[in-house]
Amino acid sequence: MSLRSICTVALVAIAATVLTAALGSAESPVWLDQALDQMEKVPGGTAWDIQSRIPVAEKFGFPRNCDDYDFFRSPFFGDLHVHTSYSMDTIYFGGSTTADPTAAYDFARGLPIGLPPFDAAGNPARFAQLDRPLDFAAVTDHAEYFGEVRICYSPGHPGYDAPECVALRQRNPAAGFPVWFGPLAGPPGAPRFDFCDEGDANCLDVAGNVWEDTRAAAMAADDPTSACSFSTFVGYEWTGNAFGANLHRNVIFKSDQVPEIPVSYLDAPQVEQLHDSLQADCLEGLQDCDAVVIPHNSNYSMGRMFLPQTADGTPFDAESAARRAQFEPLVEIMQHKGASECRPGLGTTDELCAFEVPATSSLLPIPNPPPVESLSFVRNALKLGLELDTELGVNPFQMGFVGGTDTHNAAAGFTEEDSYQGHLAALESVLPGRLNQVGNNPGGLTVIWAEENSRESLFEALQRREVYATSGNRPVVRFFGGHLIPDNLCSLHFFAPLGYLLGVPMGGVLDAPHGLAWNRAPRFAVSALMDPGTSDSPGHELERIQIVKAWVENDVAQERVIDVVGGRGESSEALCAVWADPDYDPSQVAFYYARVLEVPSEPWYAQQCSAAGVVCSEPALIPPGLERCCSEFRPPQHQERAWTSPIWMPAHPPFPGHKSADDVASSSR
Amino acid sequence: MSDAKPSRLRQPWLHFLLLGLLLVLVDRGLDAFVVAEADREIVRVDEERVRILSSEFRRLHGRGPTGEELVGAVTAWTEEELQVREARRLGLGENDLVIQRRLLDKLEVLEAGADLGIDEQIERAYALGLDHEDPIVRRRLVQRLETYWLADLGSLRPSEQAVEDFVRSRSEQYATPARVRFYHVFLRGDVSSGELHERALALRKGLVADRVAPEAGVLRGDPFLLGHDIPLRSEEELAGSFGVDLATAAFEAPIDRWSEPVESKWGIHLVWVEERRESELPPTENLRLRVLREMELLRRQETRRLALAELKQRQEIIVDFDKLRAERTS
Repeated sequence: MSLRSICTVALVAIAATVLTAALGSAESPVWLDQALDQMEKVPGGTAWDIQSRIPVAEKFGFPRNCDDYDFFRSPFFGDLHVHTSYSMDTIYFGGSTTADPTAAYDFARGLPIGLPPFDAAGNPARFAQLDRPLDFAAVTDHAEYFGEVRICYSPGHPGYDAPECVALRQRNPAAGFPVWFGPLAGPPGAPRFDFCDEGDANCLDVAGNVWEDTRAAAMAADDPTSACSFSTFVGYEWTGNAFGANLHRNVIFKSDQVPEIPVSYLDAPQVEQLHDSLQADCLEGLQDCDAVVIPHNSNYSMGRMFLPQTADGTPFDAESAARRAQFEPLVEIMQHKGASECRPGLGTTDELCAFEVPATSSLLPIPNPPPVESLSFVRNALKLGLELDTELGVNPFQMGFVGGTDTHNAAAGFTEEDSYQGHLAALESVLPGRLNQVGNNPGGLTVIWAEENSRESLFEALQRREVYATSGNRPVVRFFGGHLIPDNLCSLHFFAPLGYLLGVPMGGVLDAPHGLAWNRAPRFAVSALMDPGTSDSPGHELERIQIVKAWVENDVAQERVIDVVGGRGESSEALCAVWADPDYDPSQVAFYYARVLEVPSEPWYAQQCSAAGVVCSEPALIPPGLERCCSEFRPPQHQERAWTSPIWMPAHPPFPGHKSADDVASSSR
Repeated sequence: MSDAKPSRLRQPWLHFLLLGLLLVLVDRGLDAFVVAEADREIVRVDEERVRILSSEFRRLHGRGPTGEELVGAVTAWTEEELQVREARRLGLGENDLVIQRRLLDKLEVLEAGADLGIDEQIERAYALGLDHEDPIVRRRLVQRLETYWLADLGSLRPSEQAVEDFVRSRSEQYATPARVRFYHVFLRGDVSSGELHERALALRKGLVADRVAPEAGVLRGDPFLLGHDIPLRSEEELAGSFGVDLATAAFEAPIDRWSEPVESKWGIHLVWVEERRESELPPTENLRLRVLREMELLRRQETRRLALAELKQRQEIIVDFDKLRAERTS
């Protein structure tokens, strides 16, 4: 045994002693002894490096609310993007749901729900129920028109017979969309409807009532007991859509301490105004109030979601970049209206980016939509963030990944391909045996690694980005990065404990070590279990895990996608790998995230297209609504997947004035 | 001619008395009938009312109602009408700010600029019948009546026993499902492989022979990402995370012994059940908030139901439901 190895073992033993002391126990934890016995002796590393990675104070400082508390965190599955009858578009889409937030939470917890179309007596035409209830959910109705919608359904109110209300109650998009969505899609600063009275007071008063009902439903559905069976978040959607570019964001609050009225796009047409309102009315204005803002559908943003500037066109400076990073630590990378990770030919040659690709760049039904922009995709935005980090010292786009449904049927978490019944009311209703069109997909899920299923624990995980997104399936995925992670971690029984001890989890920032590990390339450990599925809908095996790396070289962001375990055409029930970056250069800022791919499977539309007798070689015989069965954007098979939040590596030594987004966030709270 | 005295039953005075009594009873009985009729207020649903309700339905839904939907609309209206009349009878609309504001707004439209004080304006609005048929006024009156009905309920402070009895009467609703806590050794591989099964059997044999404690025994197998020490979980929860087969096996495996090999999507498991709990009612303390909420909801619903039923007894609703059902509106 070399002197270096002896020193390493001694230093690790010292760390174990420190940990033991911190744990307050006279004996070393069994798992740590066993782990130390099994792990390969890692060359280099100092006691300081190892100690600095023992987040003891953080973990033991966390209040324990639930009977089930996992020190090394468990995965919780949920949906943070759900619309109910409180959203104006659930009405004008037609056949409208009458399900309110309470019904949405009931569905998420496993109770059945009626789906549109509804008859005039409120009876649904069909029903749905989750085979696997969610662990958490957030109803995020459009804050715009909260009050207006309720007024339009209050006979006797002065606004009831207003033309806008008459249009809404017709419950068809041709009447409702231009009236209700039009003002949101034009120039910013559209006024409220005339019936809102002077100063919009009438509509805002009623909006306050609707918001209180939203909050009350979330509080009633949240399990306050130590069983912690289900958690909810109070939330809403800010529906920014200036000039037709989708800039939508969901606002998710930490607790039930929320502002009296949710700040909508009509009140704050610039995203910085939204952030400023949250700073003033929530963080500074209320005790125990905090929020994360989650952009979604950048694929429809015409490249404007992640411009390196504020909404008024001012290029980012350090302060504005830091403000963006503070409020937007996450992005919804997958949902009903497509995946926003990347697109072949736009900053990447990654063919696997052709997944759930929308056919157009615009949500609006315009005849000549503009070409798709590179910055409509999250990976490119993250790369831009690295470039801005080198320039400004702050990365405004240091975002983890979540998934959601964006259901407009209140069917939270309803992502099963086999039983998909649409998410858009009558626009995606059911003809006998199939949906009436081949449109959008069932959506994705958010998976949070947290100590327990309590709102506090889950929210903290959202803020530190220890989350991953799926395309609707439920694989379990862990991802750690660290210079001291042993190469044999996959064969050890302490994947997560050692991952936390010797590295950072997904969403984290990995600083370069000091001392003897200076030149050791970072290791990235990723492990995944396939989704077991259910009896009716078995899960699919895993094909491979890839790591996506991006870095800045000569001021330009680069990317590379590496198959770290498995491969095209292979299949496995579980995959695990520790990958060392052979091109590691400590002087370069970089990020790494894992993408876990299932084997190819049949998407929801494939069965329906087949059952409807679609033959693409005979286009004249294709039933109306099923033309997209033959679209290049609807391949006969696809690969469901999961994306972990990235791990970032700042340059070392750090650029002058560099601050991590976490430093910025913690100094602002 | 007999000299015998006639029996008491044949006495004219008795007959006269009985006849008189009969007349009094009939009279009183008639009066009772007439009094009941006079006390019962009539709620009549005439053709005009049906026309109005159909029109409102069309405004809301974009089409006319079917027969059944019309019956539903009429039933809802009559119940509302009963409550509105009762609220007025109790004077619940007097000095109500919401109603007053509504009347003032309506009067402003009709007689803008009239030089009247607030009280005079309100009086004028009532005189013009502006409160009649007004949906906001009606809704407010119904709201006030419900508040009136519930006003005497007071705070719900059930005894511990009452809460427990409530929970037990709804035990299925409140009970936690059966749960199990277990360790498992995992062997990764193709479950169709005979070799994997042989490894599992050999491993089990070794664990039993060496009397290995489960927390140490798990280390003899392969690592498992979801861990080897699984806390209390229901079968449904286990199925969602681990698949149906392993979930079922965990509930059937013996306690404090290694099970026979169990297949999952990922490989083979040996299960050591530490604890199995039957479905149970949580401590009442944990349910108290939820129970109180539900008891209050039920109490309010029952109060409203009884009050509305009593109203219906005191009032007569005249409507031809068969005719309504037969209606076919376009």
